[in-house]
Amino acid sequence: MVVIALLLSIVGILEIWTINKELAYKQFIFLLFSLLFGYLVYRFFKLAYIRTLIFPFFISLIFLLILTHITGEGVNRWINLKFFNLQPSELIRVFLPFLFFYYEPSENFYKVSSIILILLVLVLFQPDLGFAIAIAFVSYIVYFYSNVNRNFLIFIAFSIIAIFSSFNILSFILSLFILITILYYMKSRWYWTLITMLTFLTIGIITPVIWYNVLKPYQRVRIIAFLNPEIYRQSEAYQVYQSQIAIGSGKFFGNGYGEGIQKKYGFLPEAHTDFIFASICEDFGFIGGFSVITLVFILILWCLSMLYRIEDLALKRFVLSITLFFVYSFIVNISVNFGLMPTKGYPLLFISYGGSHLIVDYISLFLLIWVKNKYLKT
Amino acid sequence: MKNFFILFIPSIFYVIFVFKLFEFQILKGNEYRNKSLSNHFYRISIKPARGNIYDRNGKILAGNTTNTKIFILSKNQDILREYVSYISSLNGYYSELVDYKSFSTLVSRKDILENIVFIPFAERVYPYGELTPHIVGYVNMEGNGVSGFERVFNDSLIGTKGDVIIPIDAKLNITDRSKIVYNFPTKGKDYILTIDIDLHKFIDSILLNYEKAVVVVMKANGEVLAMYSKPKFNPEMFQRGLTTAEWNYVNDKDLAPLVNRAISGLYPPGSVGKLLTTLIALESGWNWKTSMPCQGAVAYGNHIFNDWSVHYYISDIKEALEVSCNVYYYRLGRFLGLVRFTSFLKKIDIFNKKLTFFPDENISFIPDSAWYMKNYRFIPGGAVLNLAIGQGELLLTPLAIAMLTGAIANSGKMPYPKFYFGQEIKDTLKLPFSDSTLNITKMAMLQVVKGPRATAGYINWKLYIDGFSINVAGKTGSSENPHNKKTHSLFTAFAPYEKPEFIITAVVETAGHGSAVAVPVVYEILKWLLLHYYYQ
Repeated sequence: MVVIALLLSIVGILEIWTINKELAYKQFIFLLFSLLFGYLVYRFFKLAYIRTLIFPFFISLIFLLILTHITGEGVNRWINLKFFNLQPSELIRVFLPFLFFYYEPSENFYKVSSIILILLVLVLFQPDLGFAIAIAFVSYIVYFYSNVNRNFLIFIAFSIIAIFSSFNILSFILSLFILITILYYMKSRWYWTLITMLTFLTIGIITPVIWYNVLKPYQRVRIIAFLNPEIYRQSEAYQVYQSQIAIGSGKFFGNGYGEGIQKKYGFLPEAHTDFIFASICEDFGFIGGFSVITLVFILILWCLSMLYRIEDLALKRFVLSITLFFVYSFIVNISVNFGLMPTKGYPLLFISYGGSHLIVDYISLFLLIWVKNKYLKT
Repeated sequence: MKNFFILFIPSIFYVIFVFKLFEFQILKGNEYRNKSLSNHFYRISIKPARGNIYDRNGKILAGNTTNTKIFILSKNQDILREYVSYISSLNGYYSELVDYKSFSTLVSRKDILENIVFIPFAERVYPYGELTPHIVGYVNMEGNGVSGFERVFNDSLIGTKGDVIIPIDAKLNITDRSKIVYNFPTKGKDYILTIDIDLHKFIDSILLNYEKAVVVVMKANGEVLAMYSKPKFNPEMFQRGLTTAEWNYVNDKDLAPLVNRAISGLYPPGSVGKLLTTLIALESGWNWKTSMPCQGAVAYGNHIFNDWSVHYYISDIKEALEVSCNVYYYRLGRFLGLVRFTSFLKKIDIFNKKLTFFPDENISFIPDSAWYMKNYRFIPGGAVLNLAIGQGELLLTPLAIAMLTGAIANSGKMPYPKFYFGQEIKDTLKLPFSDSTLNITKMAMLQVVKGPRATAGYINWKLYIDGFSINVAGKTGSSENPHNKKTHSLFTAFAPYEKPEFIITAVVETAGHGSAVAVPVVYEILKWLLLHYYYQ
């Protein structure tokens, strides 16, 4: 698996080389560091450390996340360490598996939920909607896997659905219908049913009223801008359009290494980070794009296949939460490249330029390998 | 079940992604490849130079300026500002067009060249400006011919567009100057007109004192040497856009400077129309030797039809034309009758067919009894009398008068007017008259100039004074003008009488009698022609 990850990273570095040679050097050094960190984790990690580490880890994480607001300006995601911009939110990808390993979410429901909520809010205020959704996505599925109350999960899910479906009467009625069906088959307690239904309807009715009547237009713009800063950096439609052109113009064999017009002449924005997939597709065509998708998919399948063989539930949650971040990266990044989702600014695992995320990717990977070698020896 | 579910999420997205990749790269690959190329290659079209229009001696009537246009490529406001101020400092003002001096300065500045593309830029110029705008025409702001020759032959004059293809990056910077491709435009076809611009210049100088006038000069083989129409205008103003004063001038209904009076102006022929009456009467059996007294007026119905003078005695039809005796022609009108007269006119192709390829040409107007019934509800008894002396409802264009003169001179035949070399002449126009009729009329026209009582005797006298030994034939005319007491002054002539070469028709609006104004004008033109063409 390290081979696949390395292959992806090298493709990424080669692609970054055509865009900016300096960044490619940097990325290469990051890769070496990643392997070093990964090896250290693989060599010295013990599950027992989690018990001692988790609290100081949490405190320092909060400290770092708050520190970004002091050092950064505008978008406060990074802490400048002269040679390296640390992105503390990436560390959540290590912290969250620890948390889910240490606590069973259903047993320590309020504790775990409040910790996640604190992190969520801190990340949301950086602002980094993409990562906040990643945390929510991973936590939700891990909750789903452990024995957290189903009624609660449905309540959360449909409260969110209510907000977004409420702008269109048809979609609102449809989701209400689905909710009623689910509640009927769940045979929940009457108060859960009542609370969920009431919340759904209240939110569904109030949201448009607040949005159109209470909020002033500039406030609406501010909310949208807060939730989606990328849109306001450069026209989102422009980015996605250029990304689609880049992917399509690769055709079957691609333009040739480094010859992609969109990337070479700067029409493709963020070609080394968020839109590196489009850039690869432009250079290497269908062959390159298909290979990248398939390699990532194989990597994810390998990670998920471990779940079948692990008996210990805590370890299972540990592996699952690590893997889900990979899955999220795969789905969101490539969907954005195709224009299937609004721009979120989430990097592609192992490939996109960026030190923090590359190091955390490799640490995650080596943690999984460590689990495999330690507990799944056949 | 849970484990299956977690596998399901990435798998479904994997399938979607592969399908999407297939759709974008295989199914729509060409479309996206072209989009990406059009992102990269910036295209600026180059206007082709229009074909030149020369006069018969090779002088350029419509040519092109050879300017260079600069195109600044950048999205950076600072760079744009810097360039604009630098180029302004060269000319003293900012313009996309740079002259040769500024161009050579710019080319020497390597640093400033980075964001500039030079484009050849041709604009129409008319070196003789106001002398021939009606026949040469003019172009509009887009460079399309909208009038005259420029309009008719726009398709072949216009040439083929070229373009510059410039590789750019997203910031509109030129990525590689060596890869700029110039597809130069093809210049349009050149034309050589039969017009003589020097003759135009001369005509312009002798008509200096008249506001509105037309002169048509043709060779006997149909070549048009001059087609001068006044008021004049500057053809270049339409290309740059009209000022308010110019707009008011070109839209003045009274002056109508844009109208080519030679082909669009409809005039009552006045006494020139007596040529037609002569021809038709002779052809209808009138004895040319018929003599008649003239007391200066004749009564018909309850009207008195006046003559312009008392001529006492007219010995034959030739003398009637020579003195332009109305009384004689009133008699001819009564002899012919309206129906015979107008139906004969309808048989003359010159008045019933389009003579040129200009779309704004008017065909001469011939009234008939049906027209009188429609407009007057009865046929006025005196209508034919008026028509017989060239007044009334008959309207001819100056070109048609010249063609008629030419046809009489050429014993009944006249080719279509020829405007440019290489023009295919369809066929000759024929007059429906016998040779004897034409001969008598021709002799009468000679008498108009040479006879003892000649109305255009001025010419004979001037020829004698200036020492030219040739014979000229013609006919004067003074057509009544409903708006103004002064008549239009007409004279049409051909020379030499024995072997006709030049046909000259002049109409000077509201200037007085034909013999007083148009005759001297025609004489001056004839003299010029004799000096420049005949005695060479």
